[in-house]
Amino acid sequence: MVSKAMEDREILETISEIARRHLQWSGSLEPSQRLVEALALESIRLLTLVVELENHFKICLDEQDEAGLTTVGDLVAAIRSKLA
Amino acid sequence: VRPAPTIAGVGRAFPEHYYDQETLLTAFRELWARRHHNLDRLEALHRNVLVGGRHLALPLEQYAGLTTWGQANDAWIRVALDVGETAMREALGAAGLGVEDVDALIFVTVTGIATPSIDARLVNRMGLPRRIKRMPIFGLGCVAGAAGVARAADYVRAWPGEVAVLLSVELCSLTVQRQDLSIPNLIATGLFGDGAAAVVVVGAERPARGPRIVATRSVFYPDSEEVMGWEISEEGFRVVLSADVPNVVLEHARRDVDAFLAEHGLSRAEIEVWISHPGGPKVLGALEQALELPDGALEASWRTLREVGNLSSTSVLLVLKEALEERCPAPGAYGLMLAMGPGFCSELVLLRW
Repeated sequence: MVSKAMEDREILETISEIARRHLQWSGSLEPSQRLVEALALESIRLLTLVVELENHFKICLDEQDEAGLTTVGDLVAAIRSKLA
Repeated sequence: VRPAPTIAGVGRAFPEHYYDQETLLTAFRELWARRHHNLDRLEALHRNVLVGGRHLALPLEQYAGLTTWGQANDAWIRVALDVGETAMREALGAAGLGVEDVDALIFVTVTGIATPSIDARLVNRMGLPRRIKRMPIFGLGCVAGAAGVARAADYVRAWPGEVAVLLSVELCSLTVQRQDLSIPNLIATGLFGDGAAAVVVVGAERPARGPRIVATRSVFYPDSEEVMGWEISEEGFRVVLSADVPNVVLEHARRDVDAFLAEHGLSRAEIEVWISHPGGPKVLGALEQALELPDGALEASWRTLREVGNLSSTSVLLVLKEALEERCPAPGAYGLMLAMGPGFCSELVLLRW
């Protein structure tokens, strides 16, 4: 069974990869970083990130999930809970 | 004071194929399903642009058959000539003028290309005068409706005995990249529609009824090329759209409008008729906020957005037509036409009835 820590690392890597491919972003992501600032997200970039994450993980994030997203770690947790 | 040109007539034309947003959504869902998982989210995105329906250059089922840019552009030329001629004839009729009266023709578009340009082809098709001076302008995008009126006014200020016609044709549906399922393209496919409008501007030495073009102002915003535009590839036009457009409005509109009006001894409170390019809901909301406009001031822009979508440069001319023909402001009333577009830049046109 995949541990929670391992799963979180893989999710974080996937977020980074999607940001590189679809947001022309480069750098490293840490769970403690503030999501909007770390990825320079305005509304269209945020939507692009969310849609591509939904496509990759075959999940649907709803408004309630998104309302609580402050840090990169929050996004990782939201995705993990949808995958559970 | 130099005598001012007059807007003597406005015409418009739409392709005959009209689809409500639900019909278009159904068609798009099939396309989106090839790549996207959460279709409800994308559907919500389309609904959020508050467009109720749009005219399309071609019947919906024919778009899948357009596999190259050349095919799409050939369709663009054919339909542009049809709607362009209809809009021009309607505008000339409203102005009480005939094709033989047209001295200059400014043609604006950002959705297709042709050489000879559409204006040249219309000279042959409509029998416009051989002396006509043609000015095809490509690339101004959404600002070209207001900017085109301003350039037509510039022209007849130089030649006050002449008649200039602005023709705007935008067939946005023929630029759609069906394989591009990015968020900016999904927004664009929900927002933009097809149509044409023409404006007859006559010099001060000619008798005419209509609002005078008192003054115009162009404002360029340095280093904002990434806000909006096209990326051009072998497949055609790919939309570039950032979320910064409403921010540009919030940052600049009030200062630019106030400075322009102050030069003419006016303030925003003295503008009775606001004639704005609709952009989208966020742009109109930002404009209302930045200019502290009273409720309903931009109702005609909201309405055209709901009824036919954003038609790029054509849209502001539809709002202008409504102001001329339905609102009928009292003599002496001031109006302000305004639009923004790629550059990024804005154009302001001060009118007086």
